Amino acid sequence: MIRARDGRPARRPGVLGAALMTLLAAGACGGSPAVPDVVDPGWRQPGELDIRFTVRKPQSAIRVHAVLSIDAAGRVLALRTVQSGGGVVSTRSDWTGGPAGSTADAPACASVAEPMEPPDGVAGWLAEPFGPVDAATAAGWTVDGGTATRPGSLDETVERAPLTPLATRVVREVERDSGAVVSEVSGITVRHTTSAPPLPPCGARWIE
Amino acid sequence: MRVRRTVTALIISASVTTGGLVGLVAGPAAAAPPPQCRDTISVGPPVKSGGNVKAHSSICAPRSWRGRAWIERWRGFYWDTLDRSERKIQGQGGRLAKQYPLSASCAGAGTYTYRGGIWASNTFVTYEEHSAKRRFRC
Repeated sequence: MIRARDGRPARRPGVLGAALMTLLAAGACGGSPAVPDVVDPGWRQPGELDIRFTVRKPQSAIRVHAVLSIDAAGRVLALRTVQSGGGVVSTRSDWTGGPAGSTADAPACASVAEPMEPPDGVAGWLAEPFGPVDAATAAGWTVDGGTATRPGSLDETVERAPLTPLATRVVREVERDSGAVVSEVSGITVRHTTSAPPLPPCGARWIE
Repeated sequence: MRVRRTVTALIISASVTTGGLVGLVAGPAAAAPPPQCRDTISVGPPVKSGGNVKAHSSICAPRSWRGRAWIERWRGFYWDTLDRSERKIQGQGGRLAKQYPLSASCAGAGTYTYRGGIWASNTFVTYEEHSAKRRFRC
């Protein structure tokens, strides 16, 4: 069984936190960003970007651990990501150097070669599944009062992402009428490192 | 028109002599066993169908094999299984393939890469097979 929030690491992004504070302060003092820019350029520092978050649904929860390799120009060179299923590492996906990549998938993590296309542009990529990160990445979303909204993945659902700093952001897909939560992305942590963090192997028990 | 009349006449004629239209059409094949399949599971690439995304999955295995099939979409960092797309699957034996069509709503969603997934197990062995993915706007 996948543990809930209390199992999540207490780690919080130090560098990003400082960047966030700087950006927020700049926004407050300098003027007029209509939408708090809490991610870019904080995310695109050269090195390795270690990202963790949780997706919760009424009947299940998925833990995600991803590592992005970013070059000096802020371009994403590679993505490695694993996700949990049933308390173990059930899926691994790798993307490197362009639209062609390979994945190794659940539940046996048998190796297969398939193309994997990232969304167009790094900003658009990073906006999934955390909601828009700024006005430039809000395509398809309606921003009003600090909350971004777009149609959900199901009929009669809507997805909402308050534009708060990532560490406190919760992106919810809810039923339009009842407000019942269909899915929820939360517990987002982002950490910059200089060396690539290892990812657990397929089939291993998921450890925080 | 002439061709149609000719074919009709042949069918009637043959039906009389063979004891029925079914006998003529099916012929010797009617007595043949249904096509057998080799042990396998499969799932096809998802396709857009109106406001839905659909995929076909099938299993050819003894009844002791069970598993599930689903449709998921790539969300930049992880595969997100579409609600209501999952189906439990089970082999029906007899070397006959059992079909499990998959479907889920994707109305309102933007452009995503969708993928069908399937697995089955007989407790101590697990098979896995994935389709080619397909990217489209629903």
